[in-house]
Amino acid sequence: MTEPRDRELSRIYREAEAPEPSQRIDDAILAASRRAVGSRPRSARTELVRRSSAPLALAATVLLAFTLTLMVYQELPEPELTQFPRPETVDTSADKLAQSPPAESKPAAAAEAKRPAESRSDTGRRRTAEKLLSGERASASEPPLVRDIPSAPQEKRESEPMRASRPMQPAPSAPAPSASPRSETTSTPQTAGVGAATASRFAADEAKVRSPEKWLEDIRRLKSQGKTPEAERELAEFKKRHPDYRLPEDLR
Amino acid sequence: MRREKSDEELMLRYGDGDAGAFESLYHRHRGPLYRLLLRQAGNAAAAEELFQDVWMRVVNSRGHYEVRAKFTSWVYAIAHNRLMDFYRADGRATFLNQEESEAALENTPADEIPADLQLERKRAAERLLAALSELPDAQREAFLLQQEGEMSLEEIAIATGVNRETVKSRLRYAFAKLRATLGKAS
Repeated sequence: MTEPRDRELSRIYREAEAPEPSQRIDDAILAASRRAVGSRPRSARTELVRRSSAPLALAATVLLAFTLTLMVYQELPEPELTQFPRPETVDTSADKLAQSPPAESKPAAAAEAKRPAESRSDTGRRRTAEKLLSGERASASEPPLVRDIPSAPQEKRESEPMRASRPMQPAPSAPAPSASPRSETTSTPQTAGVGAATASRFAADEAKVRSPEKWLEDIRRLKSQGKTPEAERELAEFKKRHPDYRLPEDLR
Repeated sequence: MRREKSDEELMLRYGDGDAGAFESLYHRHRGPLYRLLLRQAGNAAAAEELFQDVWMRVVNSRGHYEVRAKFTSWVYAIAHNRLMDFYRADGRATFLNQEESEAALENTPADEIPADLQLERKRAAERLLAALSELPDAQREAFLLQQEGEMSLEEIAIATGVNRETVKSRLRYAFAKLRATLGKAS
């Protein structure tokens, strides 16, 4: 379709007066256009920066993400240790009582205390796994992870059979075992006072392990070796631990 | 031989900070745009204000200008919108409500421009301008965009926001009325 165009009219129109904007308007507009460029010039350098800003930003983001990921992996502990509870939390004194036989000798206990942390942690893990398995058998609906967290009632339940096997031991008056046996066994006392306190606590712990008869036997041996102060201290501890026990004649 | 840069290239260069590109662009279009605004607004003061406003919009758009249509279509669209605002503020609703009258075409004899008018070109041009000012705004705008902006029907349609057929119709009415006025005057 052709466009309507009247050549005659166009010719006449072009011959008509053709007003133009004044010089003042021209100057004002051109000055404004230069000001706009001056206020925000876009030089070749700016253009280069503008064009390269997106790839640079992307590269910086990737680098930052990589660095952060690397840092997070470096700071993470071993996966095993994060999945299982620390041995100290599982290896409570009640647990220890259940594991160690009543007639266990002092060197054996010391050896147990000196065992490297890793092997103890393995034991802890094994126990946790056993608990988990037994827990699954006992109650499938119970969330197994709950068993990872040792709780006081559970410790009490586990220590009940131990008390039954030792009728002579008056449990209620015994002081509560320390929550962290590792700190007791691995602590290095700097002063004599601290050493004595540690020894006393160690003796208290030992008292729970030894049977009264074995303990009295040890006291007699100390006496016979001429270690009277140690024997008296042990005897006092024994009396405190077993107030109802009838002492033999030689030790009264 | 160096090719003259297109309007769109100049505008992009201005966007990149080349003030000289804007100057070239301005000098290329200042006259036609000013005349369009002058003949549409009807007075020089209003035309200058509108003219300055249109160019300032071009300046302020330099940062986000994209070549989607011809530069002239874009600039004349800005001018058209500013004229609409001006008409509204001026209480002129003729542009929006103007209905093209079939009677105008019916009463216009074909090829009525007498031969002697060609001899009195100056007078003829004055009569044409007078007749132009009597046209409805939309028809006059279509005529001026074609004459001053050298725009096609499609470009006029884009600039004025109507379809091609409407532009075509407006032009036909404008030609008919102008011819009729010139013929009567002779």
